Amino acid sequence: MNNFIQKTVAKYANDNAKFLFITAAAGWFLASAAQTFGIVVNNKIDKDEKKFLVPQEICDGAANIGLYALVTAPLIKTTDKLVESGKISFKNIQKNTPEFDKLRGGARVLASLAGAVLSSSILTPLIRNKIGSMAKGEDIKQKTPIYNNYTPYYQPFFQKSYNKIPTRMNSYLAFTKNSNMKI
Amino acid sequence: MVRRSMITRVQSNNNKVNFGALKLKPIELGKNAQTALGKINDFSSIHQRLAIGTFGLVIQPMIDIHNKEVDEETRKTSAVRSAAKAIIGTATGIVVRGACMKASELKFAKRDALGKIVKENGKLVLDEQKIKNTFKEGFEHLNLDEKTLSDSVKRVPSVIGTIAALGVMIITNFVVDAPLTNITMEKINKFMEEHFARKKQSKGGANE
Repeated sequence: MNNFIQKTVAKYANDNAKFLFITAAAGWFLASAAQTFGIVVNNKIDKDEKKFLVPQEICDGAANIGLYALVTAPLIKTTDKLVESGKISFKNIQKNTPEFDKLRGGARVLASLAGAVLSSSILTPLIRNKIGSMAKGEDIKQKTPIYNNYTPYYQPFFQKSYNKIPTRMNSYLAFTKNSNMKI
Repeated sequence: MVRRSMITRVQSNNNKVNFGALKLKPIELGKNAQTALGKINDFSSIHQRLAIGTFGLVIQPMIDIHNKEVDEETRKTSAVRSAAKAIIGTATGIVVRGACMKASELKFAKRDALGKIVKENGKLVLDEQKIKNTFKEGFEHLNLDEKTLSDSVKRVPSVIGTIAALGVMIITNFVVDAPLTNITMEKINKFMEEHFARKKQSKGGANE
């Protein structure tokens, strides 16, 4: 155990980019779990809004970690290759010197930061909104055929104007079979 | 026929597609870029959290407010929530990481004969020898040169602090982050409602 801690601390102290990459992913997992828990127990958020916010939060966490890994790991690898191959070089600094290693480390950390910002601030919100709204859309679709409380003041479900839900045959049948219907 | 021979030539290269046409011009980084990269190499998780939080606060609510897939009310709630999350997540993340790193730095700080912490220009000085001795096996295993070893040793308190902070954040995320995000969300909502009501009122007054 002690040997494992020794090696882990030394390894990540030497490779800062990798360390930041792993801890950011772990931090996101914890934060996402807590935020989802926060929404579930929050009585002030409307039940209908929760149906969007909870899947949004879960998608946010999963997309955050997945996209972060998908974007950042290749970005770090590519930066490494560009520096190694000499496509990116440092003026007056020879290869395989401590100074070169330091600058290469800096480039790797910069790639890690760029990957984190790109994935978490731009790509994740776009994707999680898409998935979150799809989850809410499914929820609305499931509700549609059930129709029991028809009153003259209540607009029938089968009409296209209601929440922009398309006409469905079973909605229409449910409407016509309703015992409260007065024509 | 020509096309087939080209494909054969590309495939014969270990069955990999050849991107030889995409040739990048070599870039040589000057003194300023080198200084910046040198500093970035020593960035800790605090810097990372700050960068992610700042961009998140600016960009994420903008994306949420333009999400045409949901109704306007949900759009607003989602944008306000993103802003609140960015503010609280960044603030608590920085405070917890900062506190854990400080504690770790104090543990490895240079002390005088009386046990008092040695300071240079108001900053505490790390006892590099103490860190080297504590993680002797780990660093021996890496076979680093003196300069790289010194840089790595200086980052040890930051590594230990960040790992400890992850443990602390299991608790603070639930106890501090989640409730504070909800409170901040309410505050932003209230502020926005008042702001729009005032704007509407002033517009109405101008029309009269």
